[in-house]
Amino acid sequence: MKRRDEVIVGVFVTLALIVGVFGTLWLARRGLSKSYPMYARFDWGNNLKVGQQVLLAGVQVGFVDKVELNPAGYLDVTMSIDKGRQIPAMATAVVQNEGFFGDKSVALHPCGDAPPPAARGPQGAEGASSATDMAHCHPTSFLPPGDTIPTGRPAPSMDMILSRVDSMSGALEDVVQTVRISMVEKGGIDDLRKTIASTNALAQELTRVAAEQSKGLSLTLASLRRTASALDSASIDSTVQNMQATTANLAELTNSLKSTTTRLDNVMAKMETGDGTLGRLLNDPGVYNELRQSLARLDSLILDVKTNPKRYINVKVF
Amino acid sequence: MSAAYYPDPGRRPTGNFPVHQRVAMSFFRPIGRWAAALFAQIGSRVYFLVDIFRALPEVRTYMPLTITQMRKIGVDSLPLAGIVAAFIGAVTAFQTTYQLFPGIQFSIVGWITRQSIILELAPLLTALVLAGRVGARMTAEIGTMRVTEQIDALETLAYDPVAYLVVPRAIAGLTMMPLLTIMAIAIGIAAGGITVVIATQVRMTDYTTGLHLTFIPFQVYYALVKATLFGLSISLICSYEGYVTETGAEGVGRSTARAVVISSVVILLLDALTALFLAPKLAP
Repeated sequence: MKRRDEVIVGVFVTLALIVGVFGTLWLARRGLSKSYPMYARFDWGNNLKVGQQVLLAGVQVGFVDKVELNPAGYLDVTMSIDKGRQIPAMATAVVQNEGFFGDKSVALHPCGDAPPPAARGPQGAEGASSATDMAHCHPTSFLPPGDTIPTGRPAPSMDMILSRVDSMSGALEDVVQTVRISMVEKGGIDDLRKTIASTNALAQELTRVAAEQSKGLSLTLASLRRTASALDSASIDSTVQNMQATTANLAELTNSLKSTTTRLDNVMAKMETGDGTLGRLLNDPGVYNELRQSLARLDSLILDVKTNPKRYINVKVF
Repeated sequence: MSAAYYPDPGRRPTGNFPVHQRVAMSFFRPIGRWAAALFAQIGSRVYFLVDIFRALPEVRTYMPLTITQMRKIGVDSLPLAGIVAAFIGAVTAFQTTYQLFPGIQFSIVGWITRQSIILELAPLLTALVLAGRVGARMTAEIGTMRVTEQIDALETLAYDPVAYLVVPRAIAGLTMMPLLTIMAIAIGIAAGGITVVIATQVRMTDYTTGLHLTFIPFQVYYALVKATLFGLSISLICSYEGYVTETGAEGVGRSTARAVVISSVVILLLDALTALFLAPKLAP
């Protein structure tokens, strides 16, 4: 019985001591993993606390181990960096907001002040994201353990944002005041009201006109539609056919006209060369003279007939 | 005649004194008795402590019994302390989750749970529960031995009853209480984490991030200091009440009730005092 008690008590005490020691170590140092110190110096009032995360390109590589108040206006911060994580030589340390209510973490930018290009791919993969960022600025040298990381440009703190908001609200108040003076005290709001009223009337007038116009427009459209429907497609068809026939006739006519013209050309050519009666009449003076003599004789004959009709005309009635 | 000028209230009846002196005596005498009783209580406890210190060299007497008491006080209380710690851890974490308004990071849940459990809930509630479970038992055991005159028998056998009965319990309380508190802290924090992960949208990484936030090992020492004080006070108060038990079974019952009440109040007072003196050192 006594031996049993001793064993049980011994087991319990050992268990409790192990839990106590390792639990405390885990809470304080995240277990027994090896780490090395790095230092940074920040301005006062950065709200840094022991245990806050140290992020390299967004990946946790350690935690804030100690924050000491330096009377010269700084916070001397000791960070505990996991062994196996190296800080690029170009890196700068910045205290950044974590969440909205004043929680902070120390962010190490591997490429210095220039923000690294947006990480490609999902943020979940720790090594991958860090490797992507580091690949962009190609860190070839790393800070040795125990070195001090230079401080970068700090992210705007809540105080700064609040003061900015404060000044903005002051400006907004000025604007509101001005508006109040010009609108209310100088009667601008009445003018505005009148303007709105007349605009309203104008809009109504426009609406009325538009309604009338649309009525006329719809009438026009209706008559147009009627006309269009009255044009029988069959008659249009026949008209077109007639027109085609006419065109064909016209083409024939043109052809015959062409042949006629050719023939006329030939006639004219013959006439010019003196072939045929007409050509001779035109080109041969002998023919012309004979024709004149004939005419002169005909003339004298007709005179003779006039003077002596009895010689030529014998009318005997029984 | 000098007695008339320097009255001795203990020896002469009040009626022998002049009226104006009688009035004053009837006013001051109860106060004097009350004060005497108070100081008698304190003195009795101091004597008890002195007896304990005197018994400390008798290692052979109390050492074998100490192991048994350690098992009874410490190991056998582990299930109860564990259940209490698991529930307070779970409820603290769960309730804290629903106190967050939008925009607060979830890691605060782990932080608040850790701070509450390590600094206050695990030491205090473990001690209060053990005051009932262990203290009452202690008082009843020793009180029954007193009532049945076993303590007198021990003295007759040349055993120091304090070394035999009280010192093992005091040592067991002193050593087991911090260990139980460590287990309670571990169980409470683990139960809180499991609860929020299962029941709410807080993730384990949020919770553990909060657990690490602003932790300094002094917080654990603080809890252990509290637990040691609580364990010692439970053992001493309950042993004393049992040791001075009077008149039978009713006396045992009365002593037991007194022991639980006094040790609970003393635990709360010590909690306040340690907070008063040590809490300023908790600032990270």
